[in-house]
Amino acid sequence: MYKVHQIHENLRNNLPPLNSTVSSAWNSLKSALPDSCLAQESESLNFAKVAKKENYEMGTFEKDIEGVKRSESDGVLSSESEDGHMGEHRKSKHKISEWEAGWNVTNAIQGMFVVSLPYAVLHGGYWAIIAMAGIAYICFYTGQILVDCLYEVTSEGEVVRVRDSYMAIAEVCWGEKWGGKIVNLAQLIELLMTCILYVVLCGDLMVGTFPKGIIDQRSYMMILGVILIPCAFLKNLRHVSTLSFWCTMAHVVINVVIMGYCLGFIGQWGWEKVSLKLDIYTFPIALGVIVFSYTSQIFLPTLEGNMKEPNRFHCMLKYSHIAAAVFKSLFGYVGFLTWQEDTEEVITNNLPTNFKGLVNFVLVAKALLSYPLPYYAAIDLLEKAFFQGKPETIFPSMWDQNRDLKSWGVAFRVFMVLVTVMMAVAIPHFNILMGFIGSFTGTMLSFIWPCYFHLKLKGKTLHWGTVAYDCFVIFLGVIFGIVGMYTSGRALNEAFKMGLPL
Amino acid sequence: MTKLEAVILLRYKGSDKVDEIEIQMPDSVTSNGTCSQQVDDETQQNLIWGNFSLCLIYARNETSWNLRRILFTISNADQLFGKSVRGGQNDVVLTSVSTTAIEAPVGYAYHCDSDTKVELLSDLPYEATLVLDDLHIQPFLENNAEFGPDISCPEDYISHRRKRDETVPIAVGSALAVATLATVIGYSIYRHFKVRDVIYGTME
Repeated sequence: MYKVHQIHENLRNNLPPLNSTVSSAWNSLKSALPDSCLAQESESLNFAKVAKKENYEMGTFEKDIEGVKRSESDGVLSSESEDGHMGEHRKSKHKISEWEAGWNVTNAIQGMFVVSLPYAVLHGGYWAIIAMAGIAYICFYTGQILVDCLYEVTSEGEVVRVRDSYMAIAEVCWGEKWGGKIVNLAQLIELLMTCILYVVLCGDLMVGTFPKGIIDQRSYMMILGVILIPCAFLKNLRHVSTLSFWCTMAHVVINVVIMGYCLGFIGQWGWEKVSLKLDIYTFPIALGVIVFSYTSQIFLPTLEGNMKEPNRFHCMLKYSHIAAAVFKSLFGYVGFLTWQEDTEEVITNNLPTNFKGLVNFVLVAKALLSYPLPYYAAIDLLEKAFFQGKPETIFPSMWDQNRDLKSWGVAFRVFMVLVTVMMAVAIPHFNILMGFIGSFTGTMLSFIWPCYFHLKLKGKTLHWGTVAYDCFVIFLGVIFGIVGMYTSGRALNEAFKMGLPL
Repeated sequence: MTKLEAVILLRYKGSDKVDEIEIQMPDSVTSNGTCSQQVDDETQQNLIWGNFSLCLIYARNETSWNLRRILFTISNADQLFGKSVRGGQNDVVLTSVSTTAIEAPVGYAYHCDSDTKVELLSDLPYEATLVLDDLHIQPFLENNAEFGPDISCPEDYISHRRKRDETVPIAVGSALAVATLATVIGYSIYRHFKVRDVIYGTME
């Protein structure tokens, strides 16, 4: 009895009080969740910044740029942000946390392609699962080096942010006249096609759920266009982060529901059906699905620049990609084990009808919640390229002095939503067309250009192993691009030869 | 699954003239055949009425299927033109020259309201033109399944022969246009009053 009492006393003395423990846990949870977008002032967090030459050229970084200085100590980056100005966004108090940045990265790399991952395992076997992890690592690496290209080392040995966008990096490497324009164009194509693809997928899913209804695919797309019109009022990255958070939640629901259904058939899983052989005719199909599901590089420079603690960026990127690799590998593997050779290209088509309807609805919600991120990024690119006011651009700014959108600014943004919806309605076989174009722009933006810029800007200071790895990733990117364009081009040719779907 | 209307224009090429008769496929025919879901296997469907049999032979690969061949068999062909069939046979088999244009992705149906003409030849002095109207076919279907989404023939698409009911798309498109205008106009009105309030506020 005495021993029990003694143990009890020891526990009471050593464990923290329950109240403070619960309070601390709650605070940790709250800090992980994005703040309500309605509670924020309407600060405009610019997504894409034009690098101002007089501030950001390498030779002049000792002037008034007071950006984020990073110092390395024992491999851990610590950040010390100073008062001062580094473009408009440094004045903003409304930075995003690493969790909010993580929701956006997760939105980008755990997208709608998840429903095709079991199909990728059907064609690629264990090699597809290995590729899901391997490609995740490569994309994490290229994202990391892309952001590293934004920084330079001063003569004092401090690491200072001297560029703040993908375009700025390209301008330094390829010249101001064409460098930025090439990257901007590639980004814009990639972003707008992603938006259009989400609308197309929503239409497909709704028609798949109600195949005999009176509403056809085009009408579903236009109905969803009405729901997407409020995206025109997105003003800052915090709004987008909130939507990306709920997109991730929808993704978790889909994973849990489908994995739960698959676990119900665990006794019938075909473990031996997962192929060990590499089929060079079918593996490219798997590879295409996997490679282009991990591309988030176009968002990374701005996400990092808008973080409260940019030194947490690499940690956020690492764990986002680890989570994506784990989720995707598991999902693809378990999905294939359940349906084996009957695995459909979209796994929801394997589900029983009622279940399929529920999952399709959640997928539609996920697609709608995924749309704002690329839309916002595209709008910001267009704003910075054309709507900065004279003399920088030919058109005036969309914002008034109170940082509210002007009426014609809203009209332009709503018009862009309409453009994406109308293109989704009008262009036949859009999925395959995007595969064709995306094989080029996506490969450039996610594999080839980050490594090329890294070699160009930092090549002299890099270890030979890093140089070799960069060259290897460029080579891989070229292969992925060629294979992707060939298979998509062939599929597009066959699709149009067979006639246009009504 | 197959739904079609077929007329066969059968010609007998005699030494001095060509005789032609028209054979109409009735609404109700006997159907049988073989079916395989294996890639590269052929599947065939026979439509039989009277002394005639129309055989549709399909093939598929990983992604698409096509109508590979059509065979038209006439039993007791000597009764048609009053001419005995060479070699003492009673059956005449005519084979399509080419039908590979009839194809669609796996899971899709091929649908053509326009007339589709297929030439049929044999090694005997018989030849035919098979005219398929309102052709709607989809092989490699599971039991009791229904037609999948349609791939239309180019002639239908160009001629707009298949009139879709555009009521719903027009209605939804109008709703989208109204929503767009309402958003822009509503925001403009809101800004007009808000800006006025702000200006008056700062002047006080």
